[in-house]
Amino acid sequence: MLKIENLTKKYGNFTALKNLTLTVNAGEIFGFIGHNGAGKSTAIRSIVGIQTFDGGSIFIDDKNVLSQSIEAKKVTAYLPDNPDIYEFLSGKGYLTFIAEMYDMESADAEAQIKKYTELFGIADVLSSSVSTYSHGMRQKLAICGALIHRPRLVVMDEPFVGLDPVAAHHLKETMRELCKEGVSFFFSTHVLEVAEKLCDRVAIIKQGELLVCGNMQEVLQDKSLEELFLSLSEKTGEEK
Amino acid sequence: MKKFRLLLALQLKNMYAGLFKKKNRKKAIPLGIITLIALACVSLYEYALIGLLPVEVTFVGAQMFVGVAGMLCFISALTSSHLTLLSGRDYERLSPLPVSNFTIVAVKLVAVYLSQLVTTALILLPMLVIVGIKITLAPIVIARYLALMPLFPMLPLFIGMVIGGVVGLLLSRFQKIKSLANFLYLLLLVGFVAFLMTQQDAAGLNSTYGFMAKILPSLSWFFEGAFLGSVSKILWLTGTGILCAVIICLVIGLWYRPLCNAFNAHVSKKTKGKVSVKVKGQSRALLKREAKRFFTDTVYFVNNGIAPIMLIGIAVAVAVSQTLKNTLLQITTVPFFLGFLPFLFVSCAAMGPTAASAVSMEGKTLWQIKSLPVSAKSVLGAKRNFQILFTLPFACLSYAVVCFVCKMPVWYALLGGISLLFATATVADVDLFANLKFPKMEWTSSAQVVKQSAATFIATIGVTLLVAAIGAGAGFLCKEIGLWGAGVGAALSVAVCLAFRIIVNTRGVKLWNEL
Repeated sequence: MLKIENLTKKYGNFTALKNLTLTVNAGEIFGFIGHNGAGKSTAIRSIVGIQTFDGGSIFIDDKNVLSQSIEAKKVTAYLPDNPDIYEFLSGKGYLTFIAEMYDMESADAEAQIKKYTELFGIADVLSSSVSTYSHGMRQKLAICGALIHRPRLVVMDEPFVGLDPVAAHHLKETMRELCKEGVSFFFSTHVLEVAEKLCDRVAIIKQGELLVCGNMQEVLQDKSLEELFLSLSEKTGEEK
Repeated sequence: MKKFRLLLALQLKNMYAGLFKKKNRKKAIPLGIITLIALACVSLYEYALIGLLPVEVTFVGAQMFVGVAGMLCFISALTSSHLTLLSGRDYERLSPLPVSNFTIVAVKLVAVYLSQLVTTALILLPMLVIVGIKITLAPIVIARYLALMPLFPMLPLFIGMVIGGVVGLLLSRFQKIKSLANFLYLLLLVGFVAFLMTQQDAAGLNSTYGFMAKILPSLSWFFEGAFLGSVSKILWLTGTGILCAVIICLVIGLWYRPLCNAFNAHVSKKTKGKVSVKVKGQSRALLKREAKRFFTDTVYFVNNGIAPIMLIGIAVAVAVSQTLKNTLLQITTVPFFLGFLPFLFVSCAAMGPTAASAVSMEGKTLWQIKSLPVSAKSVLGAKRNFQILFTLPFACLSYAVVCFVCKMPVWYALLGGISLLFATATVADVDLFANLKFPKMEWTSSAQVVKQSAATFIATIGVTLLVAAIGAGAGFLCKEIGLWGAGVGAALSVAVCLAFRIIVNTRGVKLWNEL
């Protein structure tokens, strides 16, 4: 579903990503883990087409994100770590806008909006302006906006930040259900316990380089994800 | 004092430092050139009025410009200064810090004041030069003028902020009908300016000054203090300026938290019932998004909404006023005017440069539109089309009314109409391109985008003046070669429109992708 080959991104003389290569299969939940400034958000933003990159290629559903960007985006949804949403729209207006951007049918859009807004508990504030929403409500609205158009790949940057426990639970459940339908999830997180329980595969990145990537059980062996992550961080620190 | 300096440096860096970054130095050069051109144009206009008048009425002309400077400062304060002071995002960032609210307010006041000072200096400094050349001012007069000029904006700023703040608080209570409330506010402002313009006294020229000086006595204090050396007026100006600054800091500082909360915090209301969704299509959705953003943002709306109202005002004035009709009937016998007229309307339409802020207004929500399956061309097209839809119908209507009233020759009217159509579209493309070249994505208040950004400066001053200059060129063509001149003007308008459309669709798209 998602194929990244030798992804490289530089900011001036600083290389944020160095030949990053990984694959996310259909119906998989993929955890992308790294310390602050490791390059996770850079990779994510490159995948969803928000920023350009200097080398390598990215394919979503066999579509090159550079040359076939519109087609690639049609099957992708993105949820940033801090979703700034249009404050001048109401919740309903925002979701309708998303539905229009993805060329959804009115009836289908209405049903999907109802389904996800009721699931995440924001159905009764949809007519209010987004400017009146709390951070958590905006997060939930952004999640609804990401899911209503039935994406094949959902890319999320720290999706559980700001969510109340109920909403976090619903999000995890929704992810598992959608995975059974073949939807892939690629998300970054610092909450290693969630990643360990939820993800099928995991990649750990440090200073733009991939340290480990693979099936969760194979990667962890007898360790916890936290132990693995800390040991890898110390190891590369000693090598330096 | 240290915290004040640190916060002030941060605020000024946020407003102006982008120009001095190494990567932006290339952009600073054209911006500097445009600033100089704007200054030259203002100076020329002032020279035309003051410089060409008889010596005995030099000060009358100077008073008019003092009145204009005061009015601009006042209107600007009415429409946006209170929003900058009470920006919700700044409040969230600064309030948790161990800094007093007085310091925060003082810093913001200095920032707002500096931007007002730049605007008034643009008018008052050229005026000083022209008056000085005309009547050889003594060095002491020049020194007084320059020393008192920094105090000039204080009272207009203070009164404008108070009135604007009260109105803004009222508007913030009506979230659901914000568009209507913004429109009514704009009508009030325009009505006030129109009322000013219609005030005539015996001299005629200094009517703006006379009326404004009644509302803002600091204008007369400045004028008499600087040019006549009136000590009492100097003391009044100085004292009032300092008092205004202190009062604003004290009052807003004391009430900072409740005022910010009143402006920015609104509770979402629960509603029940079925959510009905009607999906229309991508292009329409993009245009609707631009419109929604525009009509619900007071600063964005009020600062650009002047164009259609001015155009309607012209049409109404021409239709109603017999004096104006007679004047126009005489003028339209002059070929120069026949060529110039359509570009006058384009120039008026160019005072609503919504596209010059449209890219920057994406701000922190840029991720949203960039991650959606929509082409950059479509997104930019919506921004451009919104400006065209917002200004062109009114420009066409106004032009049609004037053509009808003036009994303009049909071919001149038609060719002029073509020029107007394509020139208005070109202006939208130019404004959009200016914003793509000079984006301002990091902002905490839309006033920073709409009033303090390079793109809007280029659009409101540069483009408006450029269109007027092109109109003058078209007028000369008509004067020299008659109807062929109008034809050449129309053909050039079409060609330039197409050229700029290509530029925006190629280079503009590239700039958008680099954002």
